[in-house]
Amino acid sequence: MSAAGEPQPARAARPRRVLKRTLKWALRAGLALVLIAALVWLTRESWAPNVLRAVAGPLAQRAGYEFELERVRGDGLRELELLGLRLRSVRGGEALQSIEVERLHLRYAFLDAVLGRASALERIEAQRVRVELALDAAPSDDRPAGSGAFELPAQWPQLELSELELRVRVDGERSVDASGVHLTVERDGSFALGAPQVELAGAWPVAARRLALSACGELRERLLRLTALESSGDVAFSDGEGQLDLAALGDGTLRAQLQGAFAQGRVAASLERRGAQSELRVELRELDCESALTPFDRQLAARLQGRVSLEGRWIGAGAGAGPGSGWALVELQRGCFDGWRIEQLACEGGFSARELWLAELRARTGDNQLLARGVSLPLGERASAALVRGARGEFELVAHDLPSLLGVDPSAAPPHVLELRGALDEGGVELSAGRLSTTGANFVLERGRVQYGAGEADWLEAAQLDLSSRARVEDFSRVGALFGAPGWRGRAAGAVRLVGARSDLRGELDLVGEDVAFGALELGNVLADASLRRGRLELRRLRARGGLGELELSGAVELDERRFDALLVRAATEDALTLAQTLGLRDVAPYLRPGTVRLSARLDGAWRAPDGRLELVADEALGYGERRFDRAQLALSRTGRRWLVERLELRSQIDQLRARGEVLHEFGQSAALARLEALELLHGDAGLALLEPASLEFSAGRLVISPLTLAGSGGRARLEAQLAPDEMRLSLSAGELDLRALLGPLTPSGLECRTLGGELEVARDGRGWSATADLAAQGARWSEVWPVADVRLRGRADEERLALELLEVQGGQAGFVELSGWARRTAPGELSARTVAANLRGSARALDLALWPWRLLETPVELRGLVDASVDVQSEDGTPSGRLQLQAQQLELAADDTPLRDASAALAGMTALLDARLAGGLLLERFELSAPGRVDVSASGRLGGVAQWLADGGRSALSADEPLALRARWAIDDLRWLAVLTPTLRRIEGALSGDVVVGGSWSAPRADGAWRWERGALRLGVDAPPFERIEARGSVRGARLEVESLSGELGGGPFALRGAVDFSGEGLFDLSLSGRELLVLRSADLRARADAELTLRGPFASPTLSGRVGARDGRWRQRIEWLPSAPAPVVARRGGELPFTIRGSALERLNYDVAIESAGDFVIDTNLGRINLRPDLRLGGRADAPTLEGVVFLDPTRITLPGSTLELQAGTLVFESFAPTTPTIDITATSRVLGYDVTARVSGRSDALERELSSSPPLRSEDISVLLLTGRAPRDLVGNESGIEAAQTVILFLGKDLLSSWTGDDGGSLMERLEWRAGSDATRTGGATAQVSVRLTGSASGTGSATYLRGERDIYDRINYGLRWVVRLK
Amino acid sequence: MSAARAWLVLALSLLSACASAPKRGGPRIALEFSGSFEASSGELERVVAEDLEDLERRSSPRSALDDAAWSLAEHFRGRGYPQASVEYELLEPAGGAPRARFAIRSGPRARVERIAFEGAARFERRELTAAIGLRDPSARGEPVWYSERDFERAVGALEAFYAERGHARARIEPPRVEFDASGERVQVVFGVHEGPRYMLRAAPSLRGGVALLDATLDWEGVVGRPFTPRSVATARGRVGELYERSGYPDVRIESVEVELDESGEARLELVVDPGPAVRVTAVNLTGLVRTRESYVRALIDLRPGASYDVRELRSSFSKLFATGLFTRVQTQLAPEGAAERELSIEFEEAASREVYVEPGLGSYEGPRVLAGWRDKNLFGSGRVLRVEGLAAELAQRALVSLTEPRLWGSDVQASLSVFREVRDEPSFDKDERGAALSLLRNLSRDARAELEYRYRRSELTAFDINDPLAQDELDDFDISSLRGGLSFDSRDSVFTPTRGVQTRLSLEFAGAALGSELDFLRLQFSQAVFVPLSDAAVLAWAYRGGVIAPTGGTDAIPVQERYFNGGENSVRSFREDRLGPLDSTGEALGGEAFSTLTLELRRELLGSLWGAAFYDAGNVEPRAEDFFEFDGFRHGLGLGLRYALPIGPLRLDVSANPDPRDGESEWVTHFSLGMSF
Repeated sequence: MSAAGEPQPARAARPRRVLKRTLKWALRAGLALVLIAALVWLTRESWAPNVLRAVAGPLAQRAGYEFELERVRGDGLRELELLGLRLRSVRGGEALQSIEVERLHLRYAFLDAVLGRASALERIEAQRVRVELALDAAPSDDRPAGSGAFELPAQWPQLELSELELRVRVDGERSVDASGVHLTVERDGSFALGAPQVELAGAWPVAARRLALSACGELRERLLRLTALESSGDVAFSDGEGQLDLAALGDGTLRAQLQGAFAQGRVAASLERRGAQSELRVELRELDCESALTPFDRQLAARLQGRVSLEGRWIGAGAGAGPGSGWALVELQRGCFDGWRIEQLACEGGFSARELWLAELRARTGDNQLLARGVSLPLGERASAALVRGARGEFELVAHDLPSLLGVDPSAAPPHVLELRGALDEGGVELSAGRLSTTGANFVLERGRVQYGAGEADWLEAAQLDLSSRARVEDFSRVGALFGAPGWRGRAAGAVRLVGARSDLRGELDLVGEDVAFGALELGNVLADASLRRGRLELRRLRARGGLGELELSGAVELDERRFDALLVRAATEDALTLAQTLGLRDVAPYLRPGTVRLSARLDGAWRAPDGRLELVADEALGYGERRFDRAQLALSRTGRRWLVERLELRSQIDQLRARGEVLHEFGQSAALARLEALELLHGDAGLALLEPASLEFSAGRLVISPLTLAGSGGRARLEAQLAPDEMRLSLSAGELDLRALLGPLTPSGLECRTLGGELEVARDGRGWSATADLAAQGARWSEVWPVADVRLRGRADEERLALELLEVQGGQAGFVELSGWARRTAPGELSARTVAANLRGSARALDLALWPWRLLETPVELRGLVDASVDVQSEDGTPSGRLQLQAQQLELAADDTPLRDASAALAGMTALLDARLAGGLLLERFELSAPGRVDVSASGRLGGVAQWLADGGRSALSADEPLALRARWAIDDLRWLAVLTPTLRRIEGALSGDVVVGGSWSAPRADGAWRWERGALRLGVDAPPFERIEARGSVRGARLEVESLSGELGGGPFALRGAVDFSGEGLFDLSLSGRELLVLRSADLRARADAELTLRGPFASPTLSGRVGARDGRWRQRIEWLPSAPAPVVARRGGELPFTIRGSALERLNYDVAIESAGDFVIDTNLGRINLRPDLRLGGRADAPTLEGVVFLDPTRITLPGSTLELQAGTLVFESFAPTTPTIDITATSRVLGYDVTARVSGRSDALERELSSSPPLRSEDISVLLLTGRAPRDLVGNESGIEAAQTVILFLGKDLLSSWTGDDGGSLMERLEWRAGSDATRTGGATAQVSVRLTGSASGTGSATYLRGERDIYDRINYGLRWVVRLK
Repeated sequence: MSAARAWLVLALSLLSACASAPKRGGPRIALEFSGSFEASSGELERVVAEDLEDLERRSSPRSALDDAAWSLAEHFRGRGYPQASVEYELLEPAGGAPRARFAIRSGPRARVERIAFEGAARFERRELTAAIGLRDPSARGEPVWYSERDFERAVGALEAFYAERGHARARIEPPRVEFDASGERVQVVFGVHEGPRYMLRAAPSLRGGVALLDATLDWEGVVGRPFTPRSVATARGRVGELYERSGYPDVRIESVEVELDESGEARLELVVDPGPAVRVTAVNLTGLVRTRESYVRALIDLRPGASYDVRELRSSFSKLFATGLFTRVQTQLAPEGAAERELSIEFEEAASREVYVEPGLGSYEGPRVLAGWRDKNLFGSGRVLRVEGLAAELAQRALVSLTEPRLWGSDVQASLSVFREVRDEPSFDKDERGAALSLLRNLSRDARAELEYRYRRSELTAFDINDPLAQDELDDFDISSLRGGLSFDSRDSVFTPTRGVQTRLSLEFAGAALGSELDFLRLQFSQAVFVPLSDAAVLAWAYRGGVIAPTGGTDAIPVQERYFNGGENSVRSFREDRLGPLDSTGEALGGEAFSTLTLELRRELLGSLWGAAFYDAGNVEPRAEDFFEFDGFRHGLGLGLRYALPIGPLRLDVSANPDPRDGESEWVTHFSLGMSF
């Protein structure tokens, strides 16, 4: 411690010393830093790169590589960083062609490196490396020979290669490219490799081209061991592991093992190569064929499916599959080849480069088994012929399921077995045994040999067959089902032998069949005795006699030349129509009847145009229209193009036709010349015969009939015609001719004409047509609906003028009509009253309308009564004028239809009077229609412009300014007849009365009157509910129709309508309707009623219907199946249109603005429970595209299933304007069954509803169904229907009426109430006791009391019952 | 006793009838039906009942009548009167009750003469006719009446029929209906476009799933079969089930694509979202009040640390719920979406104690009252303690039993009971007291095994048999026996089986080694087989036989241990126990062996009413060694009626004895409940 008196300077010098010392050290430190920096710079930028270049460059050159280095960094003591390093082979014979590294970072221990220790290198890091390898590179002569020693370092440098691109050229055609490769090797030798993109380029024998690889493992102790290997892409390989014996490489050998998962199975392979000898062992376990083969052969992969296992060994020289041999055991499970299902295939055998030898092959498909032993197949043969011919060995086929082999429906096939044994030998196939046995059929192959042909190309065509078999078939239908020909029935027995080459096949067929049929064609008993020799089929006898007739053939058929050789055909049937229909002869069938036909023929020559003779006799087998011929006979023979018709005869009860002649006609040609030698026509007593031969010449579209002169007791006629598309001439001259005799069998039914005389000539050519007729017919009528009359027609006609000199119809009681007149075209253009000057004058007297064919008008009613009328109308200037008078008595409408008959009775006994004149307008001087007490209608007045309108044929509108002056009065007691005449009305009833005076013009009519409708009913369509009990009255004022009051009922619900419809201007509705409980819709399952307050207002063009509709008393009865039905169809159903849609009428422009609400119950009444609906909807839009928006609420309810009770939570149906017919539905129901909480939900658009059943704990949906339906815990089943069946059984018995009666609305379902227990004890006689309880009251759980009905079988085998009252305590 | 039984049966019938009666009220308006028709007024009233039930509520009663008239017309149209029409009228006389008058015009009844299916090639007409629920009109039997509604609905039924057989695109045209002139005969023709028959030849392809799992899917029964709408559901079900069993609880089948090509091949593709593979890390229990947690945990198969398997969850749940101790067992896996989850099980315990009283009637015991107390969860261990007493006209019984549902955590159920029973048999009265210990194990769903040790003191308190030999055997015994049994029961219903087999075999040994005063070996065997002949007919046969052979120091079996035969559940041509040896006064002596063989054909007659024809044969052999001689059989042939009730059928059997002996009735009638076997 210093004293207070010590000197001060010493104190002052101390800071200076410190400062000085500090500066000195700072200077030293700075110098050191500069030195260090200089040293670092020197090593990094100068020393190390220079040394490296100096050393590495010459080394590379000695190895044959060109060395480039762009830049080097690092101190050289600890690390080096090489940038832009390139090594490129100079000689080109090295496998390593080039390396390019963008950045290579090396870290090492300098001292160890100097001392040459292998562990000196600590870390190698390379980025963006590109390596090119050429495995096919020819080694250069001066390359130093390898020592053969291969040793892995005990300690690896840490290696990391990233972004490596590797290109390996395997040979001139193939290469492998890898990019993005990442490789790390740790110091302990463990490595990881990732190659995300590996591509095979060139001609690889696989279809796969891309894959990604990842691997990890270790390089240690001379082994490359893979602990994981994965690949994806075209070849997906996973869980791989293996090893490569690197030590062996040093000896020139290769030992590698690899195993892993591939194609959903396991793969293990090992390869050992020693010198030129290689051994490959492969073990595949349950590979999926399709996945496994796809990378290699996509076509084969598509054909072969299943699980394959293979265990095999291959020994050979080199790496290819060329030389060497091997052995393999292959198993295929649950496979499929080309659609053929193969349950199991096991094959064991060896193979070499030339041969495949199968020690044993077993294949099973369905119930079919194929066994082959000792079969050898030559390999390396491309041609399948050589493969088959070279095959040797034995085979055996046992099939119990032929249909699956043949690809036909197996469901109808009977139990059967096919056994075929044989051997493949040098010359062909020797079948030692063959047998096909099935229910009712037995085929035995007695001898079988196929000897291949000697030639290389035609070995199969020239193969010699020698097959001999016997068959006995008790039931063809069973055998037919076996081969997919289910239509055959019957029995047969016989033998077949075939010998010779296919081109020169000889054979014998000896077959007897009984009751043989194919479909509906019953051949009956069949006998076949035939032989085949050199393409000639000798039918000694082929006979079939069955229900449809008999067929017998004998003779010969040259199959190669397609010729008949004296083939005799004899056929007969008792029912030609059925036979024709059975054979499908649709063109012939209309002329056939169920009669007898016998045919015999002898045929020679080509199949398509044989010569020969044919005789055909048909008894009651031919008909035309309603006419039926008792007998038809045809005998003709053909020689070349000459057809000689020796006899053609058609005979019915009243008609007879006989003809003879010949026809010259070539097969396939349209032209023909027929010469009619004789023709006789007979109709009853009236007959006509050909006086001299005539000819008919047919050619394309042209028929020329040379004069055909007929005469006899049926009068005389001469017909000459020339018919062609552009020209026609027809001339008929008749005298006392009975037309029916001339037409013969072609006479229309109902045609009558006692005699016809006169001339008729018709001609047409390029200038136009003309006709002249002067005909008179007595006792004539066209058909039965016309009255019989004497008709006289005389006149001429051509394109310009029609002159009807006289048309006179004297119909006896039917009345008398006489008309005459003329018509002349006055102007070109379409024919109309304006372009024709005409005069028509005539009268009709005492026409009985009932005798005239009103039916031809196709109206539902006939008008009957007696009419006198006269007409005298002329038109010179285009406007008709004249007078019409008509007087009718006893008028009535007649109908066959029962309801129409009732309706038309109201109009019976009417009289009508019409007296009118046409003079510009229609002057209705008098019109009266009356039936005393029922109908009274009268009118008089003038309707202007009608004559002009008639002149236009009604095509133009009536002139708007033409005046109207009409007074009418009506009183109709029963309107039902109106529905008969109005198709749009289904029903109309009631009494209508009123009077009106109409004035003004057509464009502005004025009316004034009153009307009343009493006891009315109206129904517009079948589906629409009827309006009934209508009482209405109103008036007409000007253009306004007033509804003063209109009341009635719609489906029993009362309604009232009032308002007016104004027809003036655009027209205007002003109507209001109110109703209660109106029926809206009603069908078998649906009923909808509603209260309505509606108005219809607005112009005709766009009226608006608005107001409120309250739905009530609705019921939709719907059955819901307890058991889950089939899921929704694959094709979803689309919604249709709303029922309020109106199109195609004036009302389509109706606007809707209607609220649809709930005014009462609307219930969906199902067998499981009732669901109440509450709509809150609005109907809008236009009638042609209405919209419906809003919600329909479903009230909560309970749905009782047999085994549970579903609590339906509130559900909704949401209607949206864009999809009014497909509401969005959301309904959820819950239940608890046996402790399972079950939720059932239906949601989505109604056309694509999703139904979802879920539970806690989770169950499969079908198990949930079982649970809900049966109340029983489902069995542990996988996807079959057994659970459903069990439920069905329970429901079948318990369901029915009892189920609904024992389950109430609030106590849960029967199965929830039911408890049973069986077998808890043994009864006195060894049976099992049982207890059953049904809960009658109280809840299923919880405290409180409950009552049960109990039954038991006790230990004495007695039954005890009781009513148990239980008090439960917590 | 018969009268009492009849009264009970009558009461049950009335109860059933009341339950069966419509619950809605009938119409509250007088109804008149006029016109020409074939129907009773009662039938027509039932038709309109629903329309008129809320008549008062309608503001317009005529709207209800309008609906009723429509229903009547529909009723007739449905019965084959296509032209039926009904007019109605409401009559409201002053001061009188309103009346509704319906004028019915049924028109001709149309009979279907022919139903044709144009274009149908694959199926025969009779198959298609059956598919629409109709009989072939050309076949003999009742005519088929035309109902437009039936034939309209047939279109859908036919399309479904075809779809279920692989014709997924079959289309049926609406039927063409052709009436003859009289309107009494009609021909109906359906246009059928079958389309190809689609087969599912290849396994459905799966996308998005776990390949290794997909590879294990078994498509047996789906692939190689016709494609039907059910194929889709089955495919979905199988995939979902497999994943849920393999640890994927969140598996979802996102979509199922169906491809149908013109060649008739169907292909299915399922897109699977497996969700995470889940491991259960813990099982948490909540809501247990009385029940011990250890007892509950022993029933849970899903263990912490294990991979999720829905089967284990289901089996755990089933076992828990089967204890009857819980009204609610709620399981939940949380958190959602995680790969490791905890299983939470929430319980709601049921009331476990109950007191009950059960008055009733026994088919032999007569009027009876059963009363008892039961605790189903004794000390929270799931054990059941039952104390029960019975007082009947012919029997009295007291019983205390303790049941352990899972003995030492195993699947064996053990039961210990102490009992006393006094019973009047037809030939004697007995008083038994004792105890029994039984073990029972279910071997499978249908099979079970049991082992029982029973000790009892059996005393005869009255003896009506007048037989010196039997008198010699009259004594009181201590019987100590061991009985083992096997049973198999695959019947579909306990009380009204229609298919299945029930077999039971038991062997009982009693001897001095067990402390028994009576030495015997008892073998009993029974088998009942039920074969459905159709939906409405069942053929059943049963054999029951037993033999009790005295062994050791016992020379003869005392009467209370012997077998008797005859009665409502054995040979029905005899009264109770009357088949076999009798004493001089006609009392049954019983025997040491018996056999009963029964063959019965049961057929539905109408609704729940079934008929039966049966043949019974049986014997009682006095000595055990005569058992295999199978002689002395007596027979019974009879007919019966059964009315199905939820607790078994009400039964009336009349059986004839084809060879009656002195004192035996030629006919015996049994009025009972329950099937005879």
